[in-house]
Amino acid sequence: MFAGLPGTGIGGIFYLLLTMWMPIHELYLLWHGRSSLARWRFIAERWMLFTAVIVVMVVQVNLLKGFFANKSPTSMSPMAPVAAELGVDPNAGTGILLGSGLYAGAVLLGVIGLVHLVRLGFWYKAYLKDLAHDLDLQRDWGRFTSLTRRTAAQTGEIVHDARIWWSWNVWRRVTAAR
Amino acid sequence: MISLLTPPDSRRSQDVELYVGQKADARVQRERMLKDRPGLTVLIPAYNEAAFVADTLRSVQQQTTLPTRIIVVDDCSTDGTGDVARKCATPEIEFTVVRPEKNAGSKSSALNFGMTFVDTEYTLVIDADTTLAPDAIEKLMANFDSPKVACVTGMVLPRHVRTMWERGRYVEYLYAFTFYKPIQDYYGRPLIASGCFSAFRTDVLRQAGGWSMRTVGEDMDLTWSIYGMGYAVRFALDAVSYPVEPHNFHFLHKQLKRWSAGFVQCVRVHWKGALEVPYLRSMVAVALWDSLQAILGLFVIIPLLAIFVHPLFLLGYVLDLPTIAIPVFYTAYRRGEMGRALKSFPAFWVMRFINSVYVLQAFWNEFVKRKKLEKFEKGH
Repeated sequence: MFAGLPGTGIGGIFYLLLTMWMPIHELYLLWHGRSSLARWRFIAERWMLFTAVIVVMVVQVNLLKGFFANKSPTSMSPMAPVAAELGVDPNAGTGILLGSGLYAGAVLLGVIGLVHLVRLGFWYKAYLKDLAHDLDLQRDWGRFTSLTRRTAAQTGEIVHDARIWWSWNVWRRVTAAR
Repeated sequence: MISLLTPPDSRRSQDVELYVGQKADARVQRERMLKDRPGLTVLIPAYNEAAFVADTLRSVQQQTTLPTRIIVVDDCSTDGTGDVARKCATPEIEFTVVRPEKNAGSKSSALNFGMTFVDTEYTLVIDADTTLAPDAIEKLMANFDSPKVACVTGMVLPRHVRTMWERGRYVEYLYAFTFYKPIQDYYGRPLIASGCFSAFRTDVLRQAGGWSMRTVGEDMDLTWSIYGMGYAVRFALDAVSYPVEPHNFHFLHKQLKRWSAGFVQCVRVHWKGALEVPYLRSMVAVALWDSLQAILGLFVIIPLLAIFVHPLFLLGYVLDLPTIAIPVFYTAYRRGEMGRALKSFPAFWVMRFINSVYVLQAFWNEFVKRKKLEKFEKGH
C-alpha cells in the first residue's frame, strides 16, 4: 500500500481488482461527459501491467504444479508421518495453489464486507437516534398544540411566541442530531 | 556557405545580435514566468539540516515554475542550518528564515509555526533533505485544476541508492508510487500525501487546523482529514522529489518506528470518518488486514508449515516476488534504471521482514499496551 507497510498479496489482488474495474468506471464517466483520452491511455497502461502480472502468475502456478506433481510434499518431508496423520494429500500441489487463491479472494471479500457491515451498524445506530429525536419532537408538538389550544382563546401574540419557540426547538434538535 | 561569404566583422555582429536576441528572449520568458507564477509559498521545516538544506533550496530556485516565497523554519538547529539557508537567498524569490523561540519538538509544530507566515494561495511543503526535479513544481501545480482539489502530492525516490536500506526503500517506492498510488489516484483517493513533497490550498490547510500533533504520521493524518472535509487529493507521478533516505539501520529504525505507529494512530483517530469516504475505507481496511496477515504469515504460518508439513512451504516467502517485479522493472526500465532496480530487488525482500517487525511492534504498543508513540524522531 505504501512504503514501510508489509503485504502478503491480498493488497495486490485488491488493486488488480480495482484495475479490472477501471474500464467500467470510465464508461460511467464517459456517459456523464467526464472521461478523456488521457484517462483511457492510463487505463490501457494499467491493463498492460495487469495482464503481465496475470501471465506471470499463470506461468508460476504451472511451474509449481509441475514441481509438486513430481515430488509428493508429504513423502519428501522429514515430518511425513505427522502430515499423513493430519490427512494432508501427498499430491496437494494444485490444491495448495487453488486453496491459497480461494483463501485470498475470500479474505478480501470478508474484509471489505466487514467494512460495510460496520458502516451498516453505524447507519442503523444513527437511524435509531433520529427516530428517538422524531419521537421527542412529536411529544413537543403535542405539548405545543395543547399550549396553542389553551392560549388561542387568550391572545394571538402568545400563540405566535409559542410557534417561534417550537420552531427554534426543532431547529436546535435537528442541527444537534446532525 | 553563408558564413564563408560573410565578412568576418559582420558575422561577428550577427552572432552578437543573435546572442543578445536569445538573451532578451530568455529574459522576457523569465519575466513572464515570474509574473505568471502561482501564489505559492515553499515551506521547509528544518532541524539540524545544514548538510542538506542548501541542495534543497538550490533545487527550488532552479525550478521551471518559481514559487513566490520560500520560508525555512529553522527549528532551533544547533548546526547553523539557518545561516546556511540565509546564504542561499536569491533576489527572484522572497526568502525568509524563521525561528521559533524554542524547539517545536516535531515536524507538525514547526510546520504550524511556519504556516503563520504564509499569505499565498498555495503552500508547498518540502523536507529540508529533499531535492526536486527541475520541473517538479510545474508538474505538481498543474494538478490544481479544480477548486475541489485541496492537495497534490508528488512521486518520491531516494536520492542515494547505495546501502541495502536505501536499495530496499528504492524498490518499495518504485512499487508503491507506480503501482498502488496511480490506481489510488484514479479513484481519487491517494492513501497518503507524502510529507516530504506535497502542495496544499492554504485556506483548506488552515480550515483543517494545519498539521495535527495527535499522531506521529502527520502527513497521513492531514490527508485523511482533507478527505473528511470533502476535498480531493491528487497524485502527480511526473513531479519527482528525491529525499535522503536512511542509510543505516539506526536511522531506519527511527523512521519505521514513526511510520508504523503513525499508520496505527491514524486508523485509531480516523476510522469512523474513513468509513464514510468511498474507496478510502476499503483501501485502509485492506492495508490493515494485509499488514497483520503479513506478520502472521511471515513469522508464524510459513515457518510452521515448513517445519510440520514440508520445507517447500518456504517458497511462500518468495511466491509473490515475480508479480511485484513487473511494475518495479517496468518503471525502472522507463526511467533508465534497470541495473539499479535489479541490484536493489533482493533488498526489498529484507525490508519486508523489517517492516513486519515494526508494524507488529506498533500494533502491540498502540492497541494492546495502549502506549502511544508521542516523541517525533527524525530519520537522520
